[in-house]
This record gives sequence, C-alpha cells and structure tokens, in this order.
Amino acid sequence: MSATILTDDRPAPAPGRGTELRRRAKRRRAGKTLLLHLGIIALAVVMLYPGVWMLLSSFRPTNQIIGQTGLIPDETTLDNFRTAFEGIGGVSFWTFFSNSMILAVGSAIGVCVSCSVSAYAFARIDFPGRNLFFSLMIGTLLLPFHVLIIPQFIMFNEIGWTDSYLPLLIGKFLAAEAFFVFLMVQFMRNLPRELDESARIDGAGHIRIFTAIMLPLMRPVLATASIFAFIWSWNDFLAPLIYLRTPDKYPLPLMLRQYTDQTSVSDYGAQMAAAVLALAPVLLFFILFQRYIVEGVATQGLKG
Amino acid sequence: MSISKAATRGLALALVGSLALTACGSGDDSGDGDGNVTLNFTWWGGDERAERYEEAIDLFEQENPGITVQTSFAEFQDYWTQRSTDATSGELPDVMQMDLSRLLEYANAGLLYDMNEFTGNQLDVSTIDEALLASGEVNEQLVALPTGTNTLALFYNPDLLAEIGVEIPDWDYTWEEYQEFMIEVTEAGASHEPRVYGAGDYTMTWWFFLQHLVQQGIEPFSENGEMNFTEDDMREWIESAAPLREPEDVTFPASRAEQLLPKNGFTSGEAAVEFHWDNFLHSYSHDLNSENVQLMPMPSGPDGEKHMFFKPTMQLAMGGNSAHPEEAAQLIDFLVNSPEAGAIIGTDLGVPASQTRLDALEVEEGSLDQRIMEYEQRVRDEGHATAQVPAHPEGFGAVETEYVEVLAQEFGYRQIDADQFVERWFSEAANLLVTS
Amino acid sequence: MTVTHEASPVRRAGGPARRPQTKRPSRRAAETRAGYAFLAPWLLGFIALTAGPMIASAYLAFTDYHPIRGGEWIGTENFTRLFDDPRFLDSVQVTVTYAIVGTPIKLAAALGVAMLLNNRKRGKGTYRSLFYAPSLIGASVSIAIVWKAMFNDQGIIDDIGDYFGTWSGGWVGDPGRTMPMMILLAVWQFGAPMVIFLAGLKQIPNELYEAAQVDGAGPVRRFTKITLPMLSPVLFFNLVLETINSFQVFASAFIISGGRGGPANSTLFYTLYLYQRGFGQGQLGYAAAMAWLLVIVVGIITLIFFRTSRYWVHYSGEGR
Repeated sequence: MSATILTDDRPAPAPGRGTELRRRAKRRRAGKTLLLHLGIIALAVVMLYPGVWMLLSSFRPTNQIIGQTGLIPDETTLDNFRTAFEGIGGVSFWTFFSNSMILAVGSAIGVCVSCSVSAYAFARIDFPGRNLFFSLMIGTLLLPFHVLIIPQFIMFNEIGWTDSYLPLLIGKFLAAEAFFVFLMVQFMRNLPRELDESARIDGAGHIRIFTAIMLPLMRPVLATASIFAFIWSWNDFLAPLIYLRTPDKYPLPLMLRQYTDQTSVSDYGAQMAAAVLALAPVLLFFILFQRYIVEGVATQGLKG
Repeated sequence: MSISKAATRGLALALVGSLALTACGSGDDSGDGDGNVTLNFTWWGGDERAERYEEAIDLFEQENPGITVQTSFAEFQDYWTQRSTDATSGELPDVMQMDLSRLLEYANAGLLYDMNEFTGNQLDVSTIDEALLASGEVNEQLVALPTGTNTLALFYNPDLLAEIGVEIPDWDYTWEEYQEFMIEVTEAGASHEPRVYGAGDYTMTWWFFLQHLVQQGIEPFSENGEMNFTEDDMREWIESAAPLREPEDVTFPASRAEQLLPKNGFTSGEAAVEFHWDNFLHSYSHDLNSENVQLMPMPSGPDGEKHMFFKPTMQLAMGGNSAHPEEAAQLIDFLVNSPEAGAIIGTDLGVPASQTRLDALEVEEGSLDQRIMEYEQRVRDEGHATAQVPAHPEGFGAVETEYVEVLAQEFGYRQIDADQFVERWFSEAANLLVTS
Repeated sequence: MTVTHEASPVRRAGGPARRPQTKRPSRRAAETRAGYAFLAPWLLGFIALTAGPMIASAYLAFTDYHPIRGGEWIGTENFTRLFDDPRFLDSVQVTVTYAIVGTPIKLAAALGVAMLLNNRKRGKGTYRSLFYAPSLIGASVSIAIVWKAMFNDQGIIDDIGDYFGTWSGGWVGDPGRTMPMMILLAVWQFGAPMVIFLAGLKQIPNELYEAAQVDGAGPVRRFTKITLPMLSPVLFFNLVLETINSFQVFASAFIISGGRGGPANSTLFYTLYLYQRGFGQGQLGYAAAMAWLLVIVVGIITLIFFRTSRYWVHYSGEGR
C-alpha cells in the first residue's frame, strides 16, 4: 500500500506525460495485484497450517509431537500408522472404516431415493395440502435437531433399535433431511415444464415421468446431495455416540474418541495418524469433486 | 455431467468395497452360528491396567478357543458416563468393572445378571471371603464379584522430596501436620524446574471427606440412604484447609492440572504427594515412570486414631442383557480366580479377594505388589483399620461426581466459594440420592 | 393457486376434452393420490421423526422421565430447576457468547476474503476451494483433536504467545481462553459463507460500480451504498444459517473438553450440557425441557431476523 501512495505523490515529469501515466497506472495495478496475492497466499498458509501440521505430525515419533511447532520432522516413522491400523480394543481399523463406509454410503443412497421422490411431489404434482407441507418442510430446516434427540432415542429404544444402524439410517430413507428435499425441489422447478407435459400427452403417469424423465435430468443435483450426505454421515459424531454400544459397530469418529479417552500417557502419534486416516476419504472426495461441492454451496447455500 | 457420473460410480465402488470388507470382517467377529462367541469387556483405568488385562485376555482366548473378547476402557468418570448411556438403552457390556458406588443403581434397575446360577459351575466363589462376597449381593442376587480389597493411602515421591530437601512426616501425622508439610513442599519447590507443589486441594476429594466424617464419629450414610452429615460438616471440612489457600495458595493450580490431563500433578512429577487408593500404585508408578513411589496411611483424626477401612477395590459384573452369560461367567471366573491371570494382574485390582489367586501370587522382593501387600499388612497390624466401609446408597456415584468433577473444578478455579460449593452440592444431592 | 393454470393446457392439448364434468374430479383425485404417494417418504418421516417426537418432547419436559425408572408428571418443576441451575446458566452464557461473538467475526472474515477474491481472474477457483476445505472437516473429531493439540501447553499457539511474551501455559487449561479457542475454530471455517458471498458478489452488475466511480464515490461509499445493499439477501441468509449452526456445536466441544465442558464450565455448550444431563445422568425429562427452551429461543431469534429483515434486506425487483 505504502508503495502506491509514494508513486502517487511524486510530481510527474513533463515530457511524454500520457504514456508515462498509463505505464505507472499499470505498474501500480501490478503492484497491487502482487500484494493482494501475497496476502491471500499468507492467509492460505495460515488456513492450511492445522491440516499440514496434523499430516506431518502423524509421521513423527510420539514424543516429538507436542512442543514441536515446526513443520518438518527431524525423524520420521510409520509406527503411528502401524498402531492406528491395528485398531483399538481388539477391533481392527478396517472394521471401523467399513462401518463408516456402510453408514455413509447408506445415507447417500437413502437421501437420493427418498428426497428425490418427495421433491417430485412438491415440485410437479398438484394436490391439496401441498403448500402447507412445503412450509412445514421449510420450517424443519430451522429447527434445532436437539429437540428431537431425546424422544427419538426413547422411541428407538422402545422398539429395540439401539446398537444398530437403523436409527442412524432411517431418517435418511424418510427424507428427514429437509435440506436435500428443498435442494431437489428447487432444481426440479427449474426444469422445463414442457418435458412432463408432452409426456403426459403421450399418456405417461407420474411414475413414468419421474423415472424416465426427471431422474436422468436430476443427476447433477443427486450427485451434490449424495456427496454431502456421504460427508455429513462420515463426520457425524453425536448420533453414533448415542445409539451405538458395541465397539465393533463403531464408525471412525467413535474410534477416535476411544483414542483420546483411553490413553493415560497420550499416544499422540497414533491419535494423529488415526485422525489423518479418518479424514482421508473426505479429503479425497473433496479433491475429486471440489468444483461440484463448492458450486453446490455457492448456488444452494449448503453448509459445510 | 461427467462429474456426476464419476460421483455415482465412486459411490457404487465405495459401497461394493465396504460390503466386501464387512463380508470378510464379519466372519470372525459376530456370529454365534459356528460356536464362536464375542464378549464385550470394559473397565476404567489407564494404560498400565490395559496392558495387564490385554495380556490376561490373550491367555483366556488361548485357553478358550471360540471366545473372542473385545475390550474398551476409559478414565473413571468418562467410564461411568459411557455406562450410563449404555444403561439408558439397557445394553450393558457382557462383562464390566463395577464399583460399589454404582452397584445399587444398576442392580436395583435390574441391569445386572444374577450370577447365582453359575456358582459352583463356571464360577467358583468358595475362594472368596464371605463378608467380601456379600458386598456383591443385592436383593438376594449375586450381581458382582469383588476382585480384591484396597484402602486409602498417601503416595509420595521420595526422589522429588530429596531433590527439594523436604522430609515426609511420620505415620502418626495429623491433618494439621499434613498441611504444614504441603506448605513446606510448595515453598521449597518454588525454584524447582518445573515448579513443584505439595499436592492438590485434598478437601476437594469426596472420599477424603468421608474419611474425615468417619474420623469424627459420623457414619456418612445410613443403610436406607439417608445422609447423616449436615451442610455445616461439609463447610467446616472445606474451610479446614483454608491455610493452604490463604494468604498464599499452595495447592496445585487447577489450570495446570487441566493442562496435564490425562496425567495429574503427581504422575507428572510436579506434585510430591497425593492421596489415593493403594492399588493405584501400579498405574502411578507406570505414569511417573519410576519404581520409587512409597505409601503412607491417612492422617489421624482428632482422637489420634486413623479409623481407616478396607473396601472391595472393584467388582466384576455382567450386563443383564448379555447374550452369552455362560462365557461371560467363565471370563469373570478366570479373572478373579485363575493363578495365571493373577500372576499377570498382580495387585492392580487390589489385594486379591480370591484365596487361590492370593496363594498363587508370587511376590518379588521390592516389587510394587509387595509394597502394597506390606502396606496393607502394616495398616492392619498397627490397628489403623478400625472402621467399616461407609454405606453406598443409590446415587452415591452421582453425588461423588458432582463433588469431585463439577464443584471441585469450579472451586479450584476459584469461581465459587465454600458456601456456594456446599449449597450446590446439597441441592444436587436432593435430586440424585435415592432413599429407600 | 397456480394449480389450475398449469393443469388446463395439458387437458386441452390432450385432445378434445370429453365429458369434462365427470373427468375432472376423478383426475383431481388421481393427482391427489399420486401426490401423497410420492410425498409418502417425507410425510412418514415428518410424522414419525419430527412432529411426533416434538410433541413427545414437549410432554417429557414436564416429567422427570428416567430411561430406567420411568417418570411422572411434575409440572413446571424442570423449568424452575433450570433457572436455579448455575451450570445451565453457564451453558447459556457459553453458547450465547459463542454465537454473538463468533458469528459476526466469521461472517466478516467470509465477506472480507470474498471481496478480495472477487473479480480476480487467476487462481480464484483454487483459493475458493482451499478456503472452503476447513468448512467441510471443521466439525469432525479429527480436527477437534488437532485443535486441542495446537492450543495445548507447548502447542504452536502457545509458542507464538511466548514469542510476544504475552501468553503461556496453554489455552486448554485456562477458562478465559477456551472461548477464543473455540471461536477461532469457528472462524477457521469461514469458507462456507465466503463461497455464498462470492456467488452473491458475482450478481452485482459492474455498471453500478462504474457509475459510482464516475460520481466520485470512494471505496467505503461504494461498499456501503452498493455492495452491502445488493448483498443483503445473501448476508441475511448467511446470518440466519450461521446463527442457528452456532447453537448446535457438539463434537468439537465434546472432544476438546473430554466430554466435560471444562475447564470450569467454559466449554459447556448448551448441547453438551443437554447430553450430560440426558444421557450421562439419565435425566431425560430435564434434558427435554432444555431442548424445548432451545427451540423457543431459536424460534424467537429467527423471527426477529425475519421481522427486521424488511428494514435492511434489499431485494432487487419489486413485489417480492
């Protein structure tokens, strides 16, 4: 900033004034851009620091993690990953991993199926009560979900579903995540009406129109929804914490909790390695579909 | 569009992969079809205990092919929060460590398995002293087996004391002398790197309050769960340690203690002494990374007597919902009675309750096991153990948590004073204690 | 209703409408049947998982329901107990502080960075993704573990403090510093609102700025007179979303404080206390009362946002 002010204040030499001014303006703009980029890069470094530090710490011997703020390890080891892969309490890492995978993939499928069907009703069928239900659905978007935890827990407990994945998945298959319904309704409303109208002329019913016309067109929004459903389920901590009892059913976040709970002389190395392993699929997803994810947020306001 | 295709394909792949993984995973971890049984076993404690249990369980699994034991453990307070969430859905682990402080709560709710049906078969209880065995009986059901006995002790770190040049008091010391000692250590340790304190504020521990009441001739609770102490008793107890807080605060700082978690001041070598149950010698020595940790009894009360008591260290219980009760009973019998398990576990779960395990225990000269056994013997021989274990009414564990976890921390950070402490404890206790 | 307008051309185009008088009601009935059939998953979920539980929760709030002992109607006792419960008041204070301080900082950071990135041609997409990434993982257990390690005694943040000679002894053990630590974790996740701001900024026509520049408006005036009003719908959206989210922090507080909400209740977020009471102590009636109070408070806040929005949210185009 100070550099540009200096050039501003300096009296301009008389000859070739026009070209000189233009060149100077150009230089000033270039300087500004450079500064901006430097600022943004500095910010990016700060933003990335926790992740990079975690990754590099997972390769450090345990006793060198705390108190080491530099990034480059003096000594590297794979022991932490070896420990993390062994799992905890006689349950291997891969069991936790596949539990997480089943829950996440199950959630993605459930959301795609149930939300698209319900969204079709909101977007394309006229029936009494539609507007009322639509407002109710929007209302649930703003509802703090904690009010539901306790009665839901009692209910699932009564029907004997605790310590199973049913309480964790049932909501996904019953379109309880209103955000996705809303997302798909918005998407479908933007699809041309003529498509289903002409299909109707040909005598197609709603089922045909939905499966043959809508679903194929909805692929982008289905992809967005399934990616987010996957990631949210992958990171979910509270619901598994409440419902799951036996360690061999735990998903990764509960395994990580066990790591932080169980060590009295903290094995930070294994904790870091397990944390890295638990995040890896999400980051991989992000790298693969980043434009998609970020576009989804930009256009639909999906939260992180 | 290509991205959506890739996403769909990725999801499909992930699904197939995870199904394949569980398919190979589930072969050996759940099914009871082919005679394979999985037991869940959980306990509180640290790394040291975990190592012992895991070693013993490996042995058990070798001796009992077809039984797999999945383990989990946590620190004491977290452990009970987890069991409480388990209990809310009636899904307790097959085998779990139980404490007298929670026994009634779980047993009265019908959450524990009556092990009477296994005694004489899978479970040998003839090895256990009758009075001790009775501690696990509730409503004429045998719901828990004791692993051993323990008593309170003052742990001290002789090396650290030598470094700062302070001497430990004699065995007949009083609470006042203990306070003087704490002040002396903190003053001498001020220049030590890292700074050394005497110990934490002992009035903030529930069990020392009970010990103090017993020394005053007050039996804390009657059998039906009524409190026999007043707000004044608790306030006087907390204020009795006022010289430690003013004019200068010599107690171990709460913020430092929080920072050191999961260790504590003593096991980090920043506090010279600490009261605890004597069987903690193993984990304290392990966490401190020193064999040289010594034991002393509690300070004496106003009549010059210590009025100490022995209590069942901990118990082993079975979840009432266990799908494999026979195997669970087998595991409990193994842990309580088997000499091989005893050799591994030593006195970490208290001085063994089972005579067979006690007889088989080979105590090496100078070992921690020997130190604990000698300490208990001397406490008995010198007549310090004259009191009975205080009654544990239903809700005992919950009021203990309120005392040592919630209020002690706020008090430690000096956010509440003794009056508020007492007022809040009594107000919570009214909701938590169940009188019969 | 747009319903009849849309339905009529189909009928007309579908050939000569024979006997419209009888066809019409049966057609409507069929549409209704189809509508409810397609709506069934959501409707079932709404009744079984949202509406039913909400009513149940309202009832539970007036009982002392315990998962094992059951419960009885105790009237408003839970609510009177709540307002006498110092830890409850602590948890309200923690949560409100977090929402009131954290949300504006997070949104300001999001808007600031969005404006920096806006109109940059090179690297915009990369930066956008990069800054967004923390939002995706910020609420996970992994990041909570990392955060705790970073702010611990001898962690990086402590080192920086040592360097300037201001902080030491770690943040995790100091009740005065755990809130800033949690807020920093929230601000670190500014990427999600930032991306939404960026999308909003793109909608603002450049001509507006050019015209303002011609009129001699400086950057501050351009920001207050053009950017802010034009962006106000997006700002409103972000504000509502982030405020509601900030009331629901759980995993990070749970992991960082070991489930306790310490030190000295400084990370005792509302949801964490609700969990402790409900699931740790089995006081489900008490926890249900807490949950309902939260619903009412969040409802009031949302209402205030929507009511006041007409004074400061500027929608382009009339009649919206």
